[in-house]
Amino acid sequence: MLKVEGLNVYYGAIHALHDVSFEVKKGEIVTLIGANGAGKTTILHTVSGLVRAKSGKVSFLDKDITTTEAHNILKMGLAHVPEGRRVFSQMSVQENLMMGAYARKDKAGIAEDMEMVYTRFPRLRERYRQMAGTLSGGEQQMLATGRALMSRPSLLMMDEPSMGLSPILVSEVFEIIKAINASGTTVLLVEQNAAMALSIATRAYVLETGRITKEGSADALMHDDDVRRAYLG
Amino acid sequence: MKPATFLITFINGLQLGSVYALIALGYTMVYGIVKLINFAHGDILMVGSYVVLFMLTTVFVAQTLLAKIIAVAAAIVFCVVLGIVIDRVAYTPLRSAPRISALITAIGVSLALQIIAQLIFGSEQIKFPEVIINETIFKIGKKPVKSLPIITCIVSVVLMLLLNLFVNKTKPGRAMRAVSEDMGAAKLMGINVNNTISLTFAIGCSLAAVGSVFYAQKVGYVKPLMGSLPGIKAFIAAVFGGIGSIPGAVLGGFVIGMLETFVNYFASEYVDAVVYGLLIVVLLVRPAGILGKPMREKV
Amino acid sequence: MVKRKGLSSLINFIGILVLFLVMRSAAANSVSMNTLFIQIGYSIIMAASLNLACGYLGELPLGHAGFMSVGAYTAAVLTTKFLPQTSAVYPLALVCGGLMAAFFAFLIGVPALRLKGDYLAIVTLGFGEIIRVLINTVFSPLTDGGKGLFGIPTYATFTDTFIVTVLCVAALYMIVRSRHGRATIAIRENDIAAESSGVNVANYKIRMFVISAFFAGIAGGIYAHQLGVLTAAKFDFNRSIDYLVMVVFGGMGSLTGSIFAGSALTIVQYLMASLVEYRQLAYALLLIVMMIFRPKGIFGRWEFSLTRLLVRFIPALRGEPKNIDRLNAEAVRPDIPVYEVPADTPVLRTSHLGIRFGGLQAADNVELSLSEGEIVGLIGPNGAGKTTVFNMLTGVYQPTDGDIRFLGRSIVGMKPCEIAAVGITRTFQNIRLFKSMTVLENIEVAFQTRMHDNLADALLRTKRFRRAERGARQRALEILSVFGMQDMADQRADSLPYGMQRRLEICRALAAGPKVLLLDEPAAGMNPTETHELMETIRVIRDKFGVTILLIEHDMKLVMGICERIYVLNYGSVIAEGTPDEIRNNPEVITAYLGKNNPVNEGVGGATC
Repeated sequence: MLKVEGLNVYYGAIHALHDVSFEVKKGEIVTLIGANGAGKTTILHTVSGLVRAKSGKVSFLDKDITTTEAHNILKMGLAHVPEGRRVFSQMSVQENLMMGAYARKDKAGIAEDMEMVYTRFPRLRERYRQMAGTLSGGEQQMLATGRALMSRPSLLMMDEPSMGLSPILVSEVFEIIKAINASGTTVLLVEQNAAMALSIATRAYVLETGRITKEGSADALMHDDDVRRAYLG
Repeated sequence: MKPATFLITFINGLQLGSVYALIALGYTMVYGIVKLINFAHGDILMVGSYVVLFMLTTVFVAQTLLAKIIAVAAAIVFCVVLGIVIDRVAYTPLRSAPRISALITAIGVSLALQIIAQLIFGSEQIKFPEVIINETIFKIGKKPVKSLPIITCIVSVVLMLLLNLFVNKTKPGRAMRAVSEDMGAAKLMGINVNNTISLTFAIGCSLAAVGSVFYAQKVGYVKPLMGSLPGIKAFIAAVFGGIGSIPGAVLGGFVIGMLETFVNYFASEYVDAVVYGLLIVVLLVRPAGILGKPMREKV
Repeated sequence: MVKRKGLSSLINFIGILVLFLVMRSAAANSVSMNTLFIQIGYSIIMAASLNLACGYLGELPLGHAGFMSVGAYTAAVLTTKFLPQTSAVYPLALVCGGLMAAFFAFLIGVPALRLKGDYLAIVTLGFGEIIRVLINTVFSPLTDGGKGLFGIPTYATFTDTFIVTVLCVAALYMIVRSRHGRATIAIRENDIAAESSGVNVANYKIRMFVISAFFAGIAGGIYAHQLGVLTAAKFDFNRSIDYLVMVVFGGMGSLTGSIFAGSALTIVQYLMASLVEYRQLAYALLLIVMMIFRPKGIFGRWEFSLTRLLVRFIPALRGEPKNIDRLNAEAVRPDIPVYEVPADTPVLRTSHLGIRFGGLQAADNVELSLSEGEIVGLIGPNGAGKTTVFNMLTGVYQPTDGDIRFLGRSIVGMKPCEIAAVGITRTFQNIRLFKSMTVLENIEVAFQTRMHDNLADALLRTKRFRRAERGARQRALEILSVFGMQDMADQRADSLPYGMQRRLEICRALAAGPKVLLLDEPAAGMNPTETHELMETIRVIRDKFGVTILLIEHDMKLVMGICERIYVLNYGSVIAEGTPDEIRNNPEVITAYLGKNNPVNEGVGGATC
């Protein structure tokens, strides 16, 4: 579904990603794990079009999207929940969700999906008129996820959904990610919390200082010493 | 101050305040979305007045109601197109440049507009035709209250309410708010950021065009430099109210307009100094403005 | 560079003399040439002085003409009303004009320079207008108000204008090519890094703004005594823009550019006197086009040097002065402070340190203690508050709770430049070098608090100044050679490869001889080889420079490999402290980083494998 080949990305003089290649097949949950600063966020930003690669290729549904603009990539069905949530704090929960459906025109479908999101995230339904900036970290994560779902994506990319959340909320969020995947959305998950990520993923890649150093099934990597060493030295 | 005089001055203050509010809205929306002080915005006011003048003196022979409506519509269209062109040609290339570069460019655009107007129409002031009916409606004591100030205020308030509705309740309006808050996240929603920015310029310029008609008729003339001073004062109004905040721009506009009108009554030589002085006080005491939010830089 | 001491000055003097003689003969028989040259003179002074505040300092003052008018009116009022009617008072009048303008700049600058870019520009615009109103109203008994001041004696001649212009430009050049100029450019490039390197940013901004206004005032005095009549309306926003165009066109940061543009555009103005509007239109379009296509202006930051030009063509001039060894020996190095560490006192210690941003407690009850010569790590997941702690230690943030003690002395409430002076310096997460300055200059900026030559020394190029500059260069080269970077000394900082840039930042932090060095993610973006080299570098730094090091890092190989002790931060609090082995096997730490896998696996990979 998503194929990344030989991606090289620079931030000024910094060579942030070196020849990164990976793929995500339909229906999978693929996770990119690695320490902070490894380049995980850069990968998602490049795929979704916020950042331009210097070289390499990104294809989505067999179409080359390497130079496509971000707003058009979203319209193709690739949604990105960015690091730090980035909800629109001056808008209400309801308005944020509506923003997620910005590119859609089918009123009935939008209403249906709104209902689906509120069912999945009951706490959002309770707070539908509240300003997003006043929500707690966990609620904002749910809102950002729900907002991305409102575009009815075929591939959902999530950047560190567990960041800043308490352990209980983290479990909750990961349960929801599993459920989203079960109902037909492919998921690409970037996480620092390797344990949680590997527990729900199908396959995984390990990223170290901008390079993919290991890949395999999530089960295999879960018991791999190298992974632990990549984190804690 | 006699009560009748006070009331008349108050109404004049509202009139001037409405114009300043209309222009301040343009400044604040553009600053909110691209963090640029569009120095040339005041000169859009000047352009609008000249277009109306041109239409009513050169294009149309008789100044009928239809002619006036078309003239104002033409001014709005012209200013909108001009605003979008300026954004695309002069400001978009500098989106990621230091803010000072963009400000210098904006100053260049402002001057260019003034000089071009001067080259086409000459630097003397030209009488502005009566576009809006300005008859005495009623009298307070012995002083007449004319229709122009009333119409100015009513139309301005209606436009502000419509703008408020647009920004809060429509899709493109929400897109503007989203881009103002977080350009990257807005892109991820499928919003075409460049088009949204152009829309912002368009709306700001159309409000300035309407304001230009009211202002030109109030002062009675047009001249190439007529936009600078009201432009700066409207900017000060936007800063006072909190740059980036739409209600702030409206509040600021009326406060500055009222202040100027009253100071003008008592000591007209000091008007400009007082308005500038207010700007300085605001920036020193509460730089974010009355309704604005303080920003913090990431270290 | 040149074989004889003082040869460079001689070359410059001869060059200026030749120019003077040529221009004088051109002006001798033509009144309009004479007038034009005088106009060029004060325009150059205006452009060069505005360049100081705009090109070098990086601000955008839009009211420069206001200072010109203050100088003009002060000088004119003095010569018409108070001073004896002889041209001998002319220099005095000019200086008084300059001082008055400087005074106004001080009054305006102290509040205004606290504001950021856009706002500062508008405020200076406002002040320019206010000055005009004041001249016409409050000061009208002196200035004859809106009518205009007439009958000003026309003391300005070509000769004295030439001399004054040369003196003013030379003075500005002396200032810019000194540690004061370096500090100013550093502020423009990165004011936070400048402050953390010991530059008192607020102080310098005001200083440069006032100096810039002083020279504008002198230019105003010349203007008044050439024209013979003054009206405040002539010193409006458009005039300020005329000089801004000169600075932008010539190059923001090049005095040569200001001289060139000042001359060229004044001549253009003269030639196009009847086509005023077309000239103004051209100016407006020039501003737009320059900003989009060549924001550096024609000369960028390049300065013309007659000496350099001659040396290129006359090889005989090349070489070193014969007394170079004596000069080197006499050089005065920047101070290297000696620290007294009382026994059993931690070098740096925090107690109950915390900070609250609005509703968020970003750091809470943080207890850190560093003993002399340690290398200590500060780790924790993303968002744990590590950089916040650094920012509090360096004075960028003021803590809301708790205390920080350096060698037993509390440093809470001190500004970053004061903390740098006291002995704590840092590097930044996303490198904050002074990009357009050379490698050497980046380090020299950090000597601010350790050098004692003042502005007068710089202006007069005293022995003290020369010795201090030589000493600074020597010490900076020494520091660079510890890292093997001495050959890069004159390269631009942003031309260095990434790893070298990080090293340069460390060199800069070491320049002031700190006792404590804070490194914020020094290994970010480095590959395994570079990280390994960095580990060595850090040990060398500790041993050679005698510093105690606290570092934030995510690269665990580095942290575990080099830190003697480690603090772990999570959600703003310290959750663990210990040796690398203890931390590596601490279950709470493992959970904080790798996460807990609910519900079945308690801690990934078990406690040990």
